[in-house]
Amino acid sequence: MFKDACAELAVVPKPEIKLEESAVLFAGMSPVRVPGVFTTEVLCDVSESRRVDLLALKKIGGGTWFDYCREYQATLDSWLRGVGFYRAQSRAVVVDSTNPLSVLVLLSLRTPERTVAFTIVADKDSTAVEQNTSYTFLELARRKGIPLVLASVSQVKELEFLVESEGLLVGFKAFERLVAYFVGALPVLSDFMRSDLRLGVTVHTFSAVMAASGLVFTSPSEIFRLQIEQLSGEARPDELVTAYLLASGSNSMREELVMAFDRFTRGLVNLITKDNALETRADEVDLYDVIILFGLKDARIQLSLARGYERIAKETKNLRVEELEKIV
Amino acid sequence: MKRSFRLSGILYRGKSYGPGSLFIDSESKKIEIEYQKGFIRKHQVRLLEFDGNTSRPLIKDAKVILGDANVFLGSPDDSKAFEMLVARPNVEGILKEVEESIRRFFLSRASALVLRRAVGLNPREALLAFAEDVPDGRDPLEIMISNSDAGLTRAIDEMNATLEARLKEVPPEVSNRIYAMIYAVGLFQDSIDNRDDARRKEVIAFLTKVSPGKYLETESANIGVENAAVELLKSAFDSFSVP
Repeated sequence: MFKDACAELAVVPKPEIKLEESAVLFAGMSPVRVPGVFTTEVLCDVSESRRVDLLALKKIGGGTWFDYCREYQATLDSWLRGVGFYRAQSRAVVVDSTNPLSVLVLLSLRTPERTVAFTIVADKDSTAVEQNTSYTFLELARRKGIPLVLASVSQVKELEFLVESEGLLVGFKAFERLVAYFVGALPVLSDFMRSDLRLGVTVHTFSAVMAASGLVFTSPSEIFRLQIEQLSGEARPDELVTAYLLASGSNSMREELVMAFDRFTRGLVNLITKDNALETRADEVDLYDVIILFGLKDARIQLSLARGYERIAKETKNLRVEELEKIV
Repeated sequence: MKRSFRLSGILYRGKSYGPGSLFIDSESKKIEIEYQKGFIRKHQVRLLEFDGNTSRPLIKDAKVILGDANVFLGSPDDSKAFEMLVARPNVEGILKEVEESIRRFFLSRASALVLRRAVGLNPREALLAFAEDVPDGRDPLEIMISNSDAGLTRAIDEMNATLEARLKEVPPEVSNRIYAMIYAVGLFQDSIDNRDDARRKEVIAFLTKVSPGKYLETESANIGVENAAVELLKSAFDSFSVP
């Protein structure tokens, strides 16, 4: 009797694994942690170390994106698999693409599907090396088919939000707040990005108004008008081919916001699709956040970096996009 | 346990050595023959050693044939007693071997349980600890679990092979008790893993019936799943008696 029962001992129950559905990797910038989202970072340090929430790579003195990719591609790849990054249904990387680590991160992404990259990109004021790094990042993202949400260095500098309980957030602090919003809405945002990928739209820009209220804006339509002004440095209205509204506000505001968004998008002559995702604020205060992601017809931003890229690529053969193929 | 018999005579390779003694270790079945030497100051001198495991002594009435030697036991009762000792399986030796194979199985099972708990509690930590050993393109978690399962299957197969081979030599009631002990230790391991105090106490009560002994130290809930089985098994085997 017991002999037969002993066979049961050979079977131990399978572990029940609960992992967050969204995962975000930050590279070259401090992570913004959002509850319920697996957040981790890769950075440069004096020595190498690996934890679940951090991969520190030994800094390469004067290292370019090529040096980091050649040295650490396998390390980052194994670590990403190890921390279960690919087990998340929705994934994002948040990078400053002027930082060499950004190219390493993109190169190491094994399965780019369901991954969105929130990226700070170089602009005309950036150095040629920064432009070369940023350009390489954008080109690699294009080749891998990774949707991008871009903010130029100058756009980040000019961002400012008045946020209840936090006060006025300016520049990078405001960008971090925005990233937190995107990360919190990652599953919805990933759906929007997948829809755009099917239409061949991979590059996005955004406009945002946080904690808006009836005291400042007489109607939601005014907010959307302001958003076009915010975009003026980044894209022209005729370049916008898709528009996705991410908003949160009180229940009473929802309908009004959607109607205003519809009116607003009618003015975008080249728009091919639009969608919205509204969230009810738990506090029921009459404040609302309005963020619009715009899909762009072409990668004008990337073209604006081509000169800086070529300048460096001509002098340093390693720093050409084609060199990445040799590493992989 | 060693037992001695008086010998009335010894004939070894054609030479007679007179009276002497036969010593037999009931567990190892090692047999030693000594003969008496000297007239005034008599003393025993070892004549030969015989391994009762490799070849069985032949017993005919009071005569025992040990290879090249014929020795003569003092009485028919001695002959009977000697025959029983030779025929009796080396239960202690068998139990020792069986215990070791069971111990190895429970250590492997404990590793599997610990791994599953670690993966359940902090999957990313567990994955990261293992990821470096995983071949390119494979899922670390699947490999981790399948390696653990394979290790456990191997361990139970090895244990079963030892049990099948060795428990044939002991009476069925002894082997049944051993299987009951294995099952109880497995349940105990699970109760530690599941932090099920009531179950743990039930298992100890059951085990006390199978092999009456002291299990106080292993009753503690603080004992780890790795040590639980090893400690319990040791206590059970230490107090395991064969009638």
